[in-house]
Amino acid sequence: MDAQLEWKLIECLAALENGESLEQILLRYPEEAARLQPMLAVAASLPALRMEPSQEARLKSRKAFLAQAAALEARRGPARSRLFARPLVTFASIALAFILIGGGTLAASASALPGDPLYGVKRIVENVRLSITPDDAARATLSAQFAQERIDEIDALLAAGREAEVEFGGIIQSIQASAWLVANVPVDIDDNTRIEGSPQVGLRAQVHGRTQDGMLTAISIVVEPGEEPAPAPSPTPEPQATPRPTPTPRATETPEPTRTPTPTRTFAPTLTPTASPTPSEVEFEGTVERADAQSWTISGVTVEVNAATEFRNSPGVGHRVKVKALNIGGQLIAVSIERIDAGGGEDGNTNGNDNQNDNGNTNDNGNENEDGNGNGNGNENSGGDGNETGNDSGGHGGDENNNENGNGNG
Amino acid sequence: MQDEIELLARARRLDQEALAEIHETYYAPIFRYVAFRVGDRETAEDLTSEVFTRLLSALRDKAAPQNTLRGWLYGVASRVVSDHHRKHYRAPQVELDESIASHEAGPSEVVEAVLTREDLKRAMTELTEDQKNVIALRFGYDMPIQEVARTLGKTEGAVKQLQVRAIAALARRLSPRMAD
Repeated sequence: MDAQLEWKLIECLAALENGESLEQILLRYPEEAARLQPMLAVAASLPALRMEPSQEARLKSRKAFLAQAAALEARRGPARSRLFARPLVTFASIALAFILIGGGTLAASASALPGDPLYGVKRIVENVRLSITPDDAARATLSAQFAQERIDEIDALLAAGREAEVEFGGIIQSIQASAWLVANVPVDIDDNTRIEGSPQVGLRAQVHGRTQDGMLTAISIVVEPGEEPAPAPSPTPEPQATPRPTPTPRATETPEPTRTPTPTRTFAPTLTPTASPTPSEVEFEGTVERADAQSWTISGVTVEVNAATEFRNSPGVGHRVKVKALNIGGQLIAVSIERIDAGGGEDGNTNGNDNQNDNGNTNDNGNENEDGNGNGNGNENSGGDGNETGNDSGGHGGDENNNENGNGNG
Repeated sequence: MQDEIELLARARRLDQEALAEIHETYYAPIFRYVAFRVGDRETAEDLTSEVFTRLLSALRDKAAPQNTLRGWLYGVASRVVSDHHRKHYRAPQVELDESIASHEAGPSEVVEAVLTREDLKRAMTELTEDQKNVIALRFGYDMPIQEVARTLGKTEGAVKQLQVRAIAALARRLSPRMAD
């Protein structure tokens, strides 16, 4: 067959494919029609010679094919197919952990500390374990175990003096101005520490911080809300009944009448519950330059005082004091003002009484008592009296007493 | 094409639905292609099933096609047929006498020639491997010229020429009087 004919046949086949009839096509090249005709006839008959599969064979093949596939999948590993039923995240995490890192590394990650390369794997594995634990109780146990693991990690970091960013949660055991104790971990609070919620001993807090040189400094502490009893009308109505219940002779010692005119302190209760957006606690020492019902100025720094403010050792103008205050949007509200120069010691007990004595407003004192906790005050007084000889050497002695009582009550 | 890539991805995970869909789509074209090559229904059925079994093995061995399932399956079908021919090279050919007239061919078809599948089967043996493939792909697999060219790694012109020569050879074989 020459090239000419080939070309013609190609063209005719295309026409055939386009649905033209054999007769029509042959009219194109009448001179070649005799040679083209049998070839075109064969081409035209080829589709008709096509064998169609039977439905029966097709179904049989399909069944066998899918059965083979199922057998293959079963051989691939039942563990994996079981996990397919789990959320995608779970599978992805496991796949990530196993495929990228390998099983051996996974075991090695168990002892990883924050900042270690494998620490991420450790946390992923924990999350996976949590997500594949179907039972609520078991999950809670596991969750507690991981929470303890966080604390153990921090202990290890602190012991090694390593620097790392950490996060853990636990019960607040004590609150000092510059250090809290949360889940037995001492947490340093500095000016940059962001505190959310209303800090209170006994509540849960989530601490985000940084370990360095054996210390954990909080970056932020989020206090979880607890069932706080309403700021109580409280079982201490007694002071009200007796406007002058305390016949303490030492009242005279304190040049304090300045502080006393407190009738205006109506804003007092606001501090206690939730007035604070994100308060942080500050602590400083200075000399009292001015003291009145609403605010004191200590070495140039003005702090608000209110019914919740705790005065220790009868601080007054001219005294050296240690101030603990909450910083609420730049405004300092005194939590406590403690006289720390010599001579305040004996006043430790008088202080509270003094207030009560001099305050025309008994209500206010009632509040104060509540805040410090009625029981606490009672203890403080009696304890202080009994201990006075031992403690009266300095303000700190009184302070310790206070603290102990406070903690006991909390 | 995008659909096929996604279908393949699911097939690699041995997703039954995806595999069923692949079987549904490709069983008939593969069967037709194979039938064109072997000319025997029963053999074609066996070999077509074999193509799908090989697909599973490929999926298992991660040798599965990445994107062109259609072309890949043709390649497998082609090998399956070649293997079959090798095995049965000396074996006596199965007698087959299915005439188109007795089967599905409609009267509309212009097949005045009394061309039977047996004729075709005999005639096909005259063709070169490339010619057989072109004919089987074009008329069995129903592939357009362009795709046959891509599948076989040839130019469209080359495929057209192969087709023309194959048809000429078949015509020569089938109606010797007409061929020169």
